[in-house]
Amino acid sequence: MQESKIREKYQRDDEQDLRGTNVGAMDRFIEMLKLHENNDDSRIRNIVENIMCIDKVAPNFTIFEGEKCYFMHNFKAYQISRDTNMLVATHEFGHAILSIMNQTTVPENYDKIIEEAKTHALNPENKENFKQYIQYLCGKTDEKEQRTEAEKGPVSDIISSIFQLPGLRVGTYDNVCYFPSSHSRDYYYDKEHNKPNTERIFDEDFANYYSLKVNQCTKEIEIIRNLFGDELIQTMEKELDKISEKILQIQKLDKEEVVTPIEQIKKAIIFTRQSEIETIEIAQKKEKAKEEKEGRSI
Amino acid sequence: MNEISVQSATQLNKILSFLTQEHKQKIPADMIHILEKKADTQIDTKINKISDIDEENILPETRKYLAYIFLNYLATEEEKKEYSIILKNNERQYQNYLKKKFNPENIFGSKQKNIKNENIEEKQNLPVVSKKNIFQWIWEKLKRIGRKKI
Repeated sequence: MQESKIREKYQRDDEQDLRGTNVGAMDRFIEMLKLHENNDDSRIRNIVENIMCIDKVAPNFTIFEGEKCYFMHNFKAYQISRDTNMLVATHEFGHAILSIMNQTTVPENYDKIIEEAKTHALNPENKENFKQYIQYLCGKTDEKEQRTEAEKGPVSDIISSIFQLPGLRVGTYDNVCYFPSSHSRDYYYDKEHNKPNTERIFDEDFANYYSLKVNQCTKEIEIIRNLFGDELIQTMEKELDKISEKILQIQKLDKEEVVTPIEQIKKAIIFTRQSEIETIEIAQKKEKAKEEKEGRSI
Repeated sequence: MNEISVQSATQLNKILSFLTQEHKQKIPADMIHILEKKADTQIDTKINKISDIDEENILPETRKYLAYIFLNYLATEEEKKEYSIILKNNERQYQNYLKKKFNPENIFGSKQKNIKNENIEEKQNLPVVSKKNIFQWIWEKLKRIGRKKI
């Protein structure tokens, strides 16, 4: 990993230069990338070894400092703070990698994969085990202190995505188990078309899986496999393969062959301020009013 | 758009020439017309390929107009939402930077202390003037008149 190049490109050292992020947030970002360097999986190592090739496909990729860590899909802006939890930081970076390398393209039949995962969990052979795990995960058992952060984070949200719910009723109607981490029903389910929102589900599933991979949470990945079967895991693994291949392709290409005008424009305007736009808007309104007045006088 | 400089109009015109027809059609025709009319082909825009469209190569004025055009005509709804957040963040960061650099408390803080000290010193040097009410004043006057007659 070319740490010095990353800092040169994305870090702001001089207080007079407002472009880029400060040292604290950048240190956290570098720490997150270093988790990739020591990974057993060569595809994960490959991502960080060639991270500068992001500039070819997403020249507007930038890092901001903020309290909350998140990734803006359209502007390829990654926000992080000096205190961001590593599971969260790697989850959001998973969104970034999927968006930049794959435009978050959903695999074919992912809706069927979700249905099969649900069927596997509720299969008579597995149902009891699934119910016990949900109660444990949601802190309803004496073993709740044994839950890992990875279970409470990415594993919990994957379960939430498969069922498109923030919790489940287990056994009895009043035994509501809310997942420690989840997204709302509205986020994962498309009410207008009465079906799961597969794009969002895939995006979050990949980001959660990516977080588990980078943090080497092999136990938690096995939990997902036991709950939902092999196909979900295999789909995520195939996605990592695609991303790895894409990175190798991009390395060989010249930037001009890859970059689009709109993405390059976004790069050029990323550090514009609100007041600068407002000044032009006011001038445009005055011009329009003047033209209308002149039109009326004629 | 009429107020844009010739240099910026030339750069902006060149940048917009890289857009696909689908994107160009979203920009009002009169705006494109103004830019084309103002552009000076003799000026070197420093933009010869797409990757040259960079903040380092374009004028600040060009960047602002480009941002305005992007936000109002080229951005999707999702892009508008995200870019609006970025614009506000940048503004906040800039205002914090200005506050730090030109903090009024830092500029006037030491002067305020000096003024306070001066006031105390001045008060100590001033002669004491006693305050009299009207009856005391009349009595003093009568006493003086009485002394004169004697």
